[in-house]
Amino acid sequence: MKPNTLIAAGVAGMVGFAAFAAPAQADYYEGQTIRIIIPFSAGGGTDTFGRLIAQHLGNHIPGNPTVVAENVTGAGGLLGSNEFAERVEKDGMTLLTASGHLNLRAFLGLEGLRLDLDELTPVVAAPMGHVTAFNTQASGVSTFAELLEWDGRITKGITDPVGLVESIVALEVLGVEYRAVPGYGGRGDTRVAFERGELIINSQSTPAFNARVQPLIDEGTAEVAYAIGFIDADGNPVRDPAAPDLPTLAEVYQEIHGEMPSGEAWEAYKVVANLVQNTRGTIWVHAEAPQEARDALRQGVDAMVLDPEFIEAAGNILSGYEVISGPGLDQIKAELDAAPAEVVTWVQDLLTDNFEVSFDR
Amino acid sequence: MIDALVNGLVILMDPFRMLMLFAGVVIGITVGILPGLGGLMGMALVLPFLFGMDSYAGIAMLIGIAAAVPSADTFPSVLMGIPGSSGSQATIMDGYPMARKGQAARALSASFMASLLGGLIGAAALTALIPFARPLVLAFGSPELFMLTILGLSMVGVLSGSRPLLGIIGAVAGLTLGMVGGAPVAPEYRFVFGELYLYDGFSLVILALGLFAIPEIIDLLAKGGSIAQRGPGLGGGWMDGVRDTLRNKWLVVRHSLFGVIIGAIPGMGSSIIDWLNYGYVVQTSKDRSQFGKGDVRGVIAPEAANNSREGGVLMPTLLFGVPGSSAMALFLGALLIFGIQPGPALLRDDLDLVFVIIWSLAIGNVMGTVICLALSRPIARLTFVPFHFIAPVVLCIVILGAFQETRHWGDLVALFCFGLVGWLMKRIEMPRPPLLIGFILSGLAERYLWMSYNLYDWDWLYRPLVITIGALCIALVIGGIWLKRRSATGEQASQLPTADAGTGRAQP
Repeated sequence: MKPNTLIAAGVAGMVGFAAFAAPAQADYYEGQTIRIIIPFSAGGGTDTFGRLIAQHLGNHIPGNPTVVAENVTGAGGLLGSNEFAERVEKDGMTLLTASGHLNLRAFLGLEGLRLDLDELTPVVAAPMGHVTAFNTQASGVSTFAELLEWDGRITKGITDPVGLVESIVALEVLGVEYRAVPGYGGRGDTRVAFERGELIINSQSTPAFNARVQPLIDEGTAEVAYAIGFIDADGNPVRDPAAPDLPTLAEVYQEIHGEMPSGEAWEAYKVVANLVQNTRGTIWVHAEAPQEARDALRQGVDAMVLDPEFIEAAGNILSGYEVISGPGLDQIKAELDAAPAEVVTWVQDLLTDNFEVSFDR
Repeated sequence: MIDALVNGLVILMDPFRMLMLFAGVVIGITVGILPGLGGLMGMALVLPFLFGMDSYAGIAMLIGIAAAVPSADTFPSVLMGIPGSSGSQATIMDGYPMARKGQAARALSASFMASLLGGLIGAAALTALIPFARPLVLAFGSPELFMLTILGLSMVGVLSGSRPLLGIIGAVAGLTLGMVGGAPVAPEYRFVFGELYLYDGFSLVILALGLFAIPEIIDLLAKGGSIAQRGPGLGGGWMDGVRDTLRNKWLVVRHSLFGVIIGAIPGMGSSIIDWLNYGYVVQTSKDRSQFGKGDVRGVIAPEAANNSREGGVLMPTLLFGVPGSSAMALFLGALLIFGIQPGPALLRDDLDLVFVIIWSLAIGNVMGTVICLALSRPIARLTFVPFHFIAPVVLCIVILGAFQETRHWGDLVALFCFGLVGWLMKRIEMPRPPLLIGFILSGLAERYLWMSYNLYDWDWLYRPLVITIGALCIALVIGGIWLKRRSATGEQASQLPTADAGTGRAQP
């Protein structure tokens, strides 16, 4: 037998085998590979969330596809996001893991980012709250109300202003006059500077607050200002589930001014607080992916969140929060759609006027 | 504390955990040897396997990688003049000339011995200092960090050898190159010309490979022959290296401690540490005539420091949850997978874990050194092989090392351009380290200057530590000029006949 005939026979055999192995009614993802693009470098919070999902989701989607996570880094998430937005097949085989702030950038239309949230559907998301604290030692005042009257320089460390937007809008709601100090590499750097007394006011994610700012409060060098909190489906502020003892911004405002906050800043706050914090980690699929793909992904997520193995692994990583699936995702989408255009413009103007951020639209 | 120290060791002695530590060391050695890949890459490779793994085993593996990389990255630095990772750039300065003189084995064993001692001192320092590390980390605010960048820039003169003016021009060029990409204190992008690739600025790895690897490969190929120019005397060289290091034991201790301290200060990045140490050893040596031509002290100092620094960078990582280096940022992410929140509470509630980390660091260093020493003799023989046999492999590895940075075609263009620049600089004998230092410090200097001003207006100039570091900078520059003048007459005589190993023009 000539080598060519051998190969031909082998190929024929394999084709026959494949045809035989395929089930009568094939699932959409049967034998497929789903690629999850993570536009950030390995090891960060968004990466860890994306990998957690990649690890478990495949076992629960009908057809058991292989799920691989891939870091496509560069330009603060722009390279990976733009690849997902423009250069992949929109067939449900490629997903994107976005951070809350990447979503916000897309929402506001940041220059250079070509991701449009209107064209995407959330597959699964994870929330994370934030808490603001102030340094009592460096300022010499012991309550937040006193800090508002303090005549010293209230310094706030700025990393990427868009990445801190919920804390910046919160300061606008309260009318705090602060000195922005740009140049910090990340929230961790601002926390060390805060501990050093360089920065007077500082905002951290709730898990980071619990692990690293609470000890400062216990030793008497810092105090809680307020938690950002969440906004429920009726538009009312609610406390952060991972910090149920901390008052939200609205409560603190009420205590100082005797009324609920209102006005443009407050309207903006209600939108950005939820957008950023509810979608801290979000897996997106293209809205134009086939219906059966989107259904299969949803089905997979619904099964995954009930899997004890997933719940145990997620407990560590999500530190005090639960993933959002099912109707919660519809609410995220609805909130995005309902956000008034004035709010978008107001936030854009705030970031442009104070921090010279440029937007495409 | 003592029982935690014992507990940590007992926890680590589990066979699976030791196996994972060993696996980490092997991975660390592999990525260390491959130019352009470092601890960050090694940790990124194993990250997907950590989900569901025993947390102590996973941590031992990651620390094994961190411990082994700074030992193994010496191989390409010494043997080929190619930086093995960003932490061993300064080793090239004297290690490579030694290899060209046929003393590769001696340079390698001196370096591994220094790495071993440095790593152990780093682990010991981490144990002893961690309760006191908080004031050290907190003492360095933006103004002090700015002054440290100035201190780094003041070493440019020392690192430029006999051509200080060209060195300064190189440093300025490096500072300019570092400005490309996102501005550190404003949300704008500079010199990006609408190219998304440039938004993150240039990569240090690609710049270092371009400046050092490409020119070396071109010149070695053009010249023909092997890397080692003289005699096949590989023989007993490697015991000489061990003796060299032991003879300079105080140098090892001094630079290990310096490495720990600089490593512990978050915000400086770890790639400047070996250059600071190299500048420091040159500056404080009485006889400097052999530096840059194969002085073994120029190998020992940075190699001791780049292993001990891992003990240093772990301090802010564990105490504050702030990464002390880019690889530590990944390590922090891995801790998150295991549900561990670094911070002051970790020292109070989970001291056992801290000691597992410290023991892994110490044992990983020993494992790494033993493997590297065993490999050094066969690998050092490569320097006697005619270079055109190994050039294709080396070139491929260098290109792949550059391309893994962002996997964008821009990486290859950047490598080519920097290679050309490096080759031209080598031709006109313009020192290349200053360009690299300027590049590393560019963003940091700008960032910390503006932050200091925003925080304190100009009042920061009166802070005691700022004045101290400032005085040190002035002393460094003036001392450098003075020493240069004094030795100028002697050097002039010796400069011409000495074959300058770095220029590649000497005859085989």
